Amino acid sequence: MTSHEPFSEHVSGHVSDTGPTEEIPAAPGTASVAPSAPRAPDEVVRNASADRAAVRAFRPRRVIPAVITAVVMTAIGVLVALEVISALAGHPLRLLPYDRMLTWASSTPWSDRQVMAGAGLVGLLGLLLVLFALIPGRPTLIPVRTGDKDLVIGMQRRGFARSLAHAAERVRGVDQAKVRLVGKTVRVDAHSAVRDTTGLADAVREAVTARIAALSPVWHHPVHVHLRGK
Amino acid sequence: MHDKTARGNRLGLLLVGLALMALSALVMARGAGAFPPAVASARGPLVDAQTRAAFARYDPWLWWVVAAAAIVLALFGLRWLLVQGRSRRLSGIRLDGGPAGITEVDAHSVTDAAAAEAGSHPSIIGATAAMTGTSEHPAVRMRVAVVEDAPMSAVREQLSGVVIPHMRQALETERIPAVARVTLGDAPHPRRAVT
Repeated sequence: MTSHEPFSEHVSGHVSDTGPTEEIPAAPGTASVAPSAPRAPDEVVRNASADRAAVRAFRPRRVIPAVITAVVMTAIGVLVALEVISALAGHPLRLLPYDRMLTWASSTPWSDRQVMAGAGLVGLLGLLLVLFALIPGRPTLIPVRTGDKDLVIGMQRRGFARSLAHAAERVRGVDQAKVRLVGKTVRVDAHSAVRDTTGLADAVREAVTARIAALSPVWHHPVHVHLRGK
Repeated sequence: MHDKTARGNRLGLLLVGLALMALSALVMARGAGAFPPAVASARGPLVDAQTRAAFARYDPWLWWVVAAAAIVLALFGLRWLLVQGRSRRLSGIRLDGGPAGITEVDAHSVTDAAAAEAGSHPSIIGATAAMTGTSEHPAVRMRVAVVEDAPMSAVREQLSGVVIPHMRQALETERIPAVARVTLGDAPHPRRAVT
């Protein structure tokens, strides 16, 4: 569980800020810049337990698998109870063809391929449920650093990406920018009509990184800039 | 939604998943002949003479046991379902009134004031709020729409510096944990109010 909470990442984030300085292609084309922008000094006191509370608050609640499992459990319970009790009362409902089921079960060995396959399927289903239970899952919102355990803030991914895109578009020379969040990585696709794009990718990366710092997410979000020229 | 529900969902899924895996492992082990043939033969039918004999001998008690187990399973399933809609939204908060009695504060008046106060910050477009928890341990959930280029410190300062201290004062309580969902550049949808 703790491996998903990248508090350790921040430590290295400050050290490795000597990334490539010049990555400008000779020919107009694409430039990929390594994610090593310096993190702006945090305005907020770093508080590990507050960060953890924020991450935990927006974990998926597994409502859909829980509802499906609960419905199936209820259905099986009701069906079996109805059949058994109605039969005990002398008026069997016979919603299930259980005479045929009994005949099949009395003549089918445990080693039957169908039985084995069915058991395998049930096992896989069980494994799936266990995974749903144990995998923390991607938080529905991006947790924000507050430094206060009693104040949990999360921001929508869409708004976060859009805000970063606008920050990139404000860089002189960029006419259009799109931002995608791939895991925690921020991928900026910027388009420029300027002939000389020297330093432009770095400027975009700086602008986006500054905007991320202002939004102060709990996680470190490395920025990749992809610059398209004319 | 309730934090307890999220934990309950994961626990329920874990238990059911483990039960299914155990069942599957037992059946496959028997089918593969992992047990001694005298105890549980792989060649024997799923329902053998022994099983029939047991049901015949303990008739009808064994069937009542089956029925009871089925009812318990159904009740667990039903409870699990019902719990999904559980909300801890409070409509009123009781304050310690001392000898004069109990004072109840309408949660709406508190949340409306909190939402209005949050919205008074120039960077905040709009906000909604709802009280959750219990009268003894109230908590607040908010949706806050923020101007797209505002720093998050604006929200943080407005909530922890103004809105929540005032709520604490109104409710005469030491701490009010708050969860705020922030949208950047969008007004909060009125119908998607916090639950």
